[in-house]
Amino acid sequence: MKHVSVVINGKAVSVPQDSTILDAAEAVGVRIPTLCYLKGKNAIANCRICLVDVKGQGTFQPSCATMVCEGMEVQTDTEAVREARKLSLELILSSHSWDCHHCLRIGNYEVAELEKELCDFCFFCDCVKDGNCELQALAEEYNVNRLPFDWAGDPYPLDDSTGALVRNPNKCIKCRRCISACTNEQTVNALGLQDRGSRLQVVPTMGKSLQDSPCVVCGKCIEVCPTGAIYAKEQYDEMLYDIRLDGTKTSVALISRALRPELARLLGLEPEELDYGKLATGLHKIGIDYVVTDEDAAAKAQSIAVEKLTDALDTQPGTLILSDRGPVIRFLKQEFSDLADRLVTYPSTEQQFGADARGQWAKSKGLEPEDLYTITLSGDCSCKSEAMEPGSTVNFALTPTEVSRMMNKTAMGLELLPAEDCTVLYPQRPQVALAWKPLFEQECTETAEVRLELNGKPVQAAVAGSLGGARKLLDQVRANASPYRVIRI
Amino acid sequence: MSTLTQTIKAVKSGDGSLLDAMLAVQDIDGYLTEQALEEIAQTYGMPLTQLYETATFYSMLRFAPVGKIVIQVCRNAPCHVAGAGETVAAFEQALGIPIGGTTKDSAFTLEYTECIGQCQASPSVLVNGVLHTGVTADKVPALLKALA
Amino acid sequence: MVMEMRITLRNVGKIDPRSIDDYIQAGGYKALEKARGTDPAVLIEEVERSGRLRGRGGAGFNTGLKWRSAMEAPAGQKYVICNADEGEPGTYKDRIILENDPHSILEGMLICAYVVGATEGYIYCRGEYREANEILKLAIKQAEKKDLTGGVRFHVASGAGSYVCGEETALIESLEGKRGEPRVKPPYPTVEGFRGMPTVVNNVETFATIPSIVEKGAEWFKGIGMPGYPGTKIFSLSGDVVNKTFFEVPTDTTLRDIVYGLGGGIPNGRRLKAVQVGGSSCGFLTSDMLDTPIDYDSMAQRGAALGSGSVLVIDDSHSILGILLSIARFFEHESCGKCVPCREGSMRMAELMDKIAGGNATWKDLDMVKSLAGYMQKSCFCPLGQSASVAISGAIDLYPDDFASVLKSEEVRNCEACQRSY
Repeated sequence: MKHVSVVINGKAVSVPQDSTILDAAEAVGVRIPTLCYLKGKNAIANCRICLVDVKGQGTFQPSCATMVCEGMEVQTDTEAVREARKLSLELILSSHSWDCHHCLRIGNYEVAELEKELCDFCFFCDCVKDGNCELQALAEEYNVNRLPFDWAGDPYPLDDSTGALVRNPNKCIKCRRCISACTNEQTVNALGLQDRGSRLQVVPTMGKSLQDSPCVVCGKCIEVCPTGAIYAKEQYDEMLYDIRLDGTKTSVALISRALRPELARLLGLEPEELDYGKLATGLHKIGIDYVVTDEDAAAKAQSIAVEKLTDALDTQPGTLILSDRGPVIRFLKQEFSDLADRLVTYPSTEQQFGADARGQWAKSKGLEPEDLYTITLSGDCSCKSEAMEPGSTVNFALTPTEVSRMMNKTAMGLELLPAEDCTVLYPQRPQVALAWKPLFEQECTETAEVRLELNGKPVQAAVAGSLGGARKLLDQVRANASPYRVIRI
Repeated sequence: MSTLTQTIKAVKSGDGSLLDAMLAVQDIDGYLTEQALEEIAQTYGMPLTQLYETATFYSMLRFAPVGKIVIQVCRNAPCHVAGAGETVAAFEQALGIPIGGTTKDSAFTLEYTECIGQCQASPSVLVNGVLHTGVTADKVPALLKALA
Repeated sequence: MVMEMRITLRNVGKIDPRSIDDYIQAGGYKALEKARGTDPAVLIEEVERSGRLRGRGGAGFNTGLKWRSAMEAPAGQKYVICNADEGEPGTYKDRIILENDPHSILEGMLICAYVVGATEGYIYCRGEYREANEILKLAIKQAEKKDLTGGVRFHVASGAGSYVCGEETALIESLEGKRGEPRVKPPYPTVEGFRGMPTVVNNVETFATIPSIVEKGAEWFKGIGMPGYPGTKIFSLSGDVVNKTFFEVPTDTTLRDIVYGLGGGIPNGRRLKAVQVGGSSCGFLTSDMLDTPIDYDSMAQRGAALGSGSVLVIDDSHSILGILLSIARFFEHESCGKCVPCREGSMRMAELMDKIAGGNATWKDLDMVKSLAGYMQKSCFCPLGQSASVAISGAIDLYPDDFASVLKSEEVRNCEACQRSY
């Protein structure tokens, strides 16, 4: 790959020809702020926060989408560029609901006067993304104290039709990351645009509610949204209230491994620094009676999967589709209903935990199932959606964002707590045959192949990590051209 | 085959573009129904969300019924200079509706349009797509009378 | 005494636009024949040498260079697209050509297709031009019947009400069945355009001028008008002018000659307040600037623009404020909505102009207009947003009295607000 030399803020650097200015800046340690940008997924230059001054150009250029060329000279932080960024932020915030920084908006304070510790105690800013919002962070960085414009028009109603996933159009900055995730990664096509210009909106299909759209509540959009425009419904308040209301009830919480990466990030820790033992102590202190980790329930669920799969492999030829995820099953029903008879479902770790906590565990403790609250702290909103379904064995499923906010509101500082041992769900942990382990342990973003050896015979399998990947594999199955005996999604 | 299917097929087989199809289908009911959008999406092989995204971008496409007679007054600079503001006021008074509205009996819809390229004859007005030129405020009564 | 010179408009009013035989009898399709007998490399030099026929849509880009870029792009499938999405307020010159001499456009496109190696031609014609859409389809059928299209397949695609689709990459997006949102450039359409293939997008007037250049040669064309922007240009007049019609003149004609000469001056004994050349996306010129030749570069040197060649004459009976409000509302409505500065900025600009024109604004509001204008000019994604505020910021400098007569100080405005609330 041919290299070109460019100059960023006076520093010369040689970068591959297909680099953007943003890449080149990174190479010399210069940080350019971005907002709508998501590497490899969304580089459409619409927020204009990443604008830079390129010598010889009459207008500012978006560094995320502009390729470098030989001899390009770039200034990333001139006063004019910073003013343009600030005005962009002021314009965005003038069309954004005031759920944070009330004190700035009503003129009592300036950004420079804000103190983090006091902010943590103040509950005026009650946006679900408070402290975790990319727009808020940029507004603070650029000292956006007062807004030059008033809110125009009427506020849009919230869309909580799916129960677990909530849309607040009043906070949408039209960055289109959610559309990119829903359309390109997940190929669900539930989100899109409506109208143009100042009337532009991000809406579900045909402008209807999410429940009436192809949305499968996978929560990918929540993962990528930079603001509080799409989020998982918060239930920790309700949960804490419920578990304490009746002294005769017992609460059991499961901490899943999927919680770790995001919760650690929100707490400002490395993943391995997050001690589940300390988290258990914290949970006990706020009223949760028992805490378990997920190894037992996961193993139990997987062994059920293995049992069902083994049966199916004996009785059904062709490709089998294995999943425990609610969104996947919805997706299959919507897009691949013709392959329904190939589907082998097994309980999710969370639902298995709920069932066993209410079953053999409750019995072992001499508790009645109806006297239990089952809570899971897991990775994303699909667990929450699952928990909201009728017949769910889990009362409350909390997402990492909820857990971190709950910890904040209850002043649960892990660094001050000792680690405790977690309760064990089963007297003996169920075993999953070694031969099957690769199928369950393989992680991937789109698709990956797994070679299994069952009873001495090789079995080709594949794993899909996104619904887009699933679609690719399932299209193959539909065309009778799939080389896989088992596909796990 | 329904009129809808026939219309879409006619445009597509004539190698018509997506916009051509939507404009042709719009002529059936005066606006694009959900059913129409679904069928167009299917025929042109795209998710409904994507079609909706495209359709709602263009100002000539409608998604709700309008009056039998749609009067569009150009409001851009050349027509403004020629007195389009007064023309609008005259229509509003005569029809009893504000611009952007439809009369109670659904007889008339009064709207703005952007430049339609007839600036030599400003103020320019479209009545159901048919051009009327030089429509100064004083000409409005006669225009409306001729439509009755 | 200023005279028209009808090159591009040579057939207008003289032939039946629905008769290909009329066009042929008037000398039509001879240039195409000549072109097809010439080496494309030689032809392209002719177009380049013609003093660089510069695009007549408004951007003024060197046509020969554009064609060469597409010609040299290695690819199987190439496209020629005619931008007939004339939407700049005050502009109707393309409509005149479309409705009166459609074959001149086809001939120009066919010559281009031959040079660059394209086998498909699209005419993206705005949806509001119903007659033009229909005449084009007829013309294509006629040309095909007479075997003149030489293997080039033509399509007429209708627009559906979007000014931004006049921008070449937005046009391509729309033609591909999507929202008319502009693309990041580079890559340029001549390298990666329609369906990702090399594409030449040119304006109606540009294509209609090509046959004459091919027929009569570069030297002839270069000898007309200004050297940097040779040939003729069509102007569409509107507003407070006696002859509200179109004229084609050599490019060294002055604005004064157009407004007072061919245009017949201002009726009703009024005086000139402003001339807006190039439509709502360009600034105003006052009487002292009328002796400028109207070619692209001379206008640019004066801080003005030729643009599409629309000429809106405004007399002194108007306050500039109402006109600016009309312009601001236009851009708010036509913004595609992709980028923050245009989507939010155009809305706030219309809001502020409404306040100002309505007599409810303060000097602080004017400051905001200036900031917003400067910001949009530097930060918007595409030329629509970048030029949306040009007329407004120019008018603030040229007509300070119009603003001063309505603006209040903060104190006065707060006082009035208090009084109203009682």
